[in-house]
Amino acid sequence: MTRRPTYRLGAYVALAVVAVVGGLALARPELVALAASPALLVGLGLITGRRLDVAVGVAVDRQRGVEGQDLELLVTLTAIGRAARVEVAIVLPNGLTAIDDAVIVRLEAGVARSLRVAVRCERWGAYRLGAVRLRVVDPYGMFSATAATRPTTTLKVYPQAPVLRRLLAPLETQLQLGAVRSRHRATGVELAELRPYIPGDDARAISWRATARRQELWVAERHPERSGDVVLVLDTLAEARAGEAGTLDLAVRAATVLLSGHLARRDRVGIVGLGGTVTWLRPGMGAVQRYRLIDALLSSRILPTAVWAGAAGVPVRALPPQALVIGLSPLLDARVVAAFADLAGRSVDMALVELDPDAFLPSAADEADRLARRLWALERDNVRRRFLRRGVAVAPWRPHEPFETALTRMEAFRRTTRRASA
Amino acid sequence: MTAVAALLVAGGLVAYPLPSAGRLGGLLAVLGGLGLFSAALGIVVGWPQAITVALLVLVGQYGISLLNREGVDPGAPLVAVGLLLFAELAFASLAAPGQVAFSPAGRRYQALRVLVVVVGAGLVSGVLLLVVGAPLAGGPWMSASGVGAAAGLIALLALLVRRSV
Repeated sequence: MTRRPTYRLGAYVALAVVAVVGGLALARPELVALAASPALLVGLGLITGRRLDVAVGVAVDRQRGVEGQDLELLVTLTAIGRAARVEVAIVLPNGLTAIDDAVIVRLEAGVARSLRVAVRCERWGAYRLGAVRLRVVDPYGMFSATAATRPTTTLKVYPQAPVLRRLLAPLETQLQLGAVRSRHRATGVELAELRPYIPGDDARAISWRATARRQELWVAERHPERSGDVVLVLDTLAEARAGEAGTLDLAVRAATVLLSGHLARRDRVGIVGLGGTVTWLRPGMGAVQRYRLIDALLSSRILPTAVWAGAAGVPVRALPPQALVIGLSPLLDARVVAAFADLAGRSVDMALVELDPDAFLPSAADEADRLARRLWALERDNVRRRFLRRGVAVAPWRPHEPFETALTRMEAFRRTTRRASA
Repeated sequence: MTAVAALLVAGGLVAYPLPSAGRLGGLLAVLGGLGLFSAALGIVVGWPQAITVALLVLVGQYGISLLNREGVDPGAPLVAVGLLLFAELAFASLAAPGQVAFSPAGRRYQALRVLVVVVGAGLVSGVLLLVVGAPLAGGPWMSASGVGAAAGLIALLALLVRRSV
């Protein structure tokens, strides 16, 4: 531990010396009485204030948590050499808060002492934990000794993902079994149409009720249930932010909700981070894929950069043909808008969730500010309309709204365009 | 809060010797003003050396005020308490270099520590003055032992400081 003399040490030594010398010179015992207390304090402080080493170990009761959840840190302290009274404070990164305050504990030499500190996960993210600030509490106030340990363990806090009652259905399904009704006909549950029997049809497909009514063999064709490929494209190039909250947080929350819903529906889900450098995770399904995707989301950061690969940087295997691509972006950067337009031109089914940046902007200060805000809103509306004209569903999502509102808007648009194209 | 309290205590220390100052009143007032100015400078600017200077000036002012007084000042323990209280409050109002603020538990502990220090200072000074007031015969040997004790105390402090810092 780093030990420093406090200001008191010099001041009390000077006070004691001056008072003693003055008392002798003036032959006044009162001055010697004034010198006694600081001299005694200095003497005791210097005799007892030896160096102290403390061994610190920090363990967390779990490696993963969810926003709003409390977890417990176990801090083990061992004083090496001598006993001391120590103030222990856990240094937590932004996004985690200690429910318990710093405490003062007495450490006996060589005896391990354990403290349990409750910590609340306030915000999603991957955190390095285990930094502890220690301060030896000197009863005489002559020395201050502090130490800070380095983080040793990682905690992943996942965003809360409420269950969605509706999800976007991909226009085209894949071959794997799933829960999405395919447009094609094969063995399934949902009836597509009835038609006369053709030699070679499966006998199990014969609809005996229709056959009895028409006095000839009829078969029922059905829609099979298949899975779809869903790729979530996150804009990590630009964001609107106000303090701790920003559009990236919205993007991560939306992505978590979507991937949880689609994976539960047995869809294959992948992710693409569209920033200065493009990051991706190929579509997959299952619980392991869920953790992979969320871990990838936790490392999402906005990195303002001039490096830009655009949609050309997204590899083909990250965007399987006929995949449903859901873009999550505030549509603030023209390069990102161009990249989404480029992706929409590929053989993918695209939808865009516009993470509304208005909620993160300061209120307009004057008339010029209001006018600029209106012009900006018009420009963004123009961008939105360009996507809609290309058949890409765009729906804004505001922080206070449930995510299903945006999904409902997109689904309504997709239903309309499907009907129109039919 | 602690800064204001420290300045109030310093004001009390300056005012204490003034009523019985007599012809030294002007000098004591000037010294007191200097001590207060130094204390305020140290606290406001965050300069701990100025607080040390203020402490020494206040001791000097009190020592000079004793020149006018016959017999032992019964208020000396109070002055000792005041000086330590001023120093503790003034230093508490300054953040030590590289240190973060104390937690509520730490602040409670520090407040208790100041209380114990102040009460202890009053007791030590009071006991010392009682001993001084004991009817003991003086003489050159007694004076020499007093000077020796004082020199020994200063030497001991110097030795400890050299070993520890």
